Amino acid sequence: MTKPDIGIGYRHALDAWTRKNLTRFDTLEVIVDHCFHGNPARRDGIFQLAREIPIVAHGIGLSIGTDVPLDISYVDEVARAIERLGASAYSEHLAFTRVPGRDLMNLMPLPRTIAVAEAIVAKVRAIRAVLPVPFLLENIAYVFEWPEPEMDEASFLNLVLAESGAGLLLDIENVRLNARNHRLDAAGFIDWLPPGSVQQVHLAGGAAVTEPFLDAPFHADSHSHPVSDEALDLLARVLARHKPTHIILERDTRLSETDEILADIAAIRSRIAGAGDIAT
Amino acid sequence: MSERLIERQRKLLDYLTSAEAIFDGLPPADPALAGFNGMRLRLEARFSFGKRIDKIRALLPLTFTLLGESRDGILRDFSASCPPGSLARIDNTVEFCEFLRARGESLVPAQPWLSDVAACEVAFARVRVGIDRHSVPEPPAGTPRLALNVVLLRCRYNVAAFFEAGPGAPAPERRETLLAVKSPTSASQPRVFALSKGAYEFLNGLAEARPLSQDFAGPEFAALRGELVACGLIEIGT
Repeated sequence: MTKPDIGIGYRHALDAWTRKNLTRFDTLEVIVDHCFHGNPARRDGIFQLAREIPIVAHGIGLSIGTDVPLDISYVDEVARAIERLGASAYSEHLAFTRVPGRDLMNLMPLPRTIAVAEAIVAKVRAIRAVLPVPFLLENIAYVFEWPEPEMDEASFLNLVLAESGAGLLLDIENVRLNARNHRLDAAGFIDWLPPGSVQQVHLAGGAAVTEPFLDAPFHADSHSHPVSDEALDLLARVLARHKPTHIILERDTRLSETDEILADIAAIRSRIAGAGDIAT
Repeated sequence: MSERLIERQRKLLDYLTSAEAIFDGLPPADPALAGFNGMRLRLEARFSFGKRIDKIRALLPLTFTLLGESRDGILRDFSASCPPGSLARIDNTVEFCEFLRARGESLVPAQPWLSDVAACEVAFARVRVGIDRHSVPEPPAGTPRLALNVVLLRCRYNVAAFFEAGPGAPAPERRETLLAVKSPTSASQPRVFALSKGAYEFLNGLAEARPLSQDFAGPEFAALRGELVACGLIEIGT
């Protein structure tokens, strides 16, 4: 059986700790935008790290779902960074974050319609033509939905992936959170994905948010807490029907709790060992 | 014919970044946004605004402490007058800093020095980010330029006490204060140099790539220039 590579999303705030603990991970996921924006010394540090451990690239700046032509110069920049990193794949979110002149900084869902799926497929094909590595789309955790969807989320995702040739980066925590927040069936969502379509996995731990105007707590994708047993159970479900090459733990806050990060990595490895050769 | 998606996306972001959505929870008035769950849109608006403010607060910790109880009202005004145009932390922070400067004397309670504190913190952030030296051509041999990791500041108040003694320091006096903020390569804390008017004018001229005036040609200027080189505030092309 080929075991997936296990790693974390690289965060500069944990740079020294990550370098010290590099042997605990098989891979690192790098935010590719940080390779061409921001602090030059930090950029150099990322490329230096890429010489020490295999890298996968993850993007946050594409906003593929914004209904404007693809910014091909951005994709070219991503492609150059990927080549320099020696990254084996590049992933982005099936979402939009901005319109020209206004950037929400949050991932927002797309209207689940045939027309929108077709627009995304065309963009993915253009991206794949430029990229030297496989391109993956990631499912997001969403707060709201567009009215009058033509299909459910899993069907929309499957349609885009099948027509575009993109792989799937399945964020299991996002599936779990969406199920809770929108009263969906997480296991059913995972079962609806074609066998073998999940090429990478994200895991994280969220937190419940309360607001006076909400009638129930909202479960936010905060990347702040240990991965829940429920998410790990869903991972086992994924491993039964898919053969992801990478499993990445995402952590963005409470970063000083590095013991929790290592415990999460150990729990993930344990679940993979427990999955035996089911996923082969 | 239904509205184009980009127009609906634009209207959605207009609403989600509005003070009405973030602070008042008013439902969207635009018919193009009919059918959305209003409570969820409000939550999205608050999440994204919170994320934006977290980015700004991370670079302006002292400014936010000094804002104190007036913070909510100021942030509301900020959201109304400066919708987010960029993902970048520094861009949003500079925008907030400019917003405070524009407010100036009208801040309630009166803290006319606040924009100077924010400008200092932005300068610290800028020099920490640094500039990719490979992206900037070297100056011609013998020609001075402002060092790449230096930011100049012209403050209306001397706000040093806030950085030295903390937010409880007494209100600063109004006095033009000229500073150069520099990030040393081997330390995490930026260094701050108080400048004479002549030194500031010279450095500012370099920053704006203006031809040097006759004022900077005399022998007394050679000493100043040597001092600025020694401090690492200017670099001479080789």
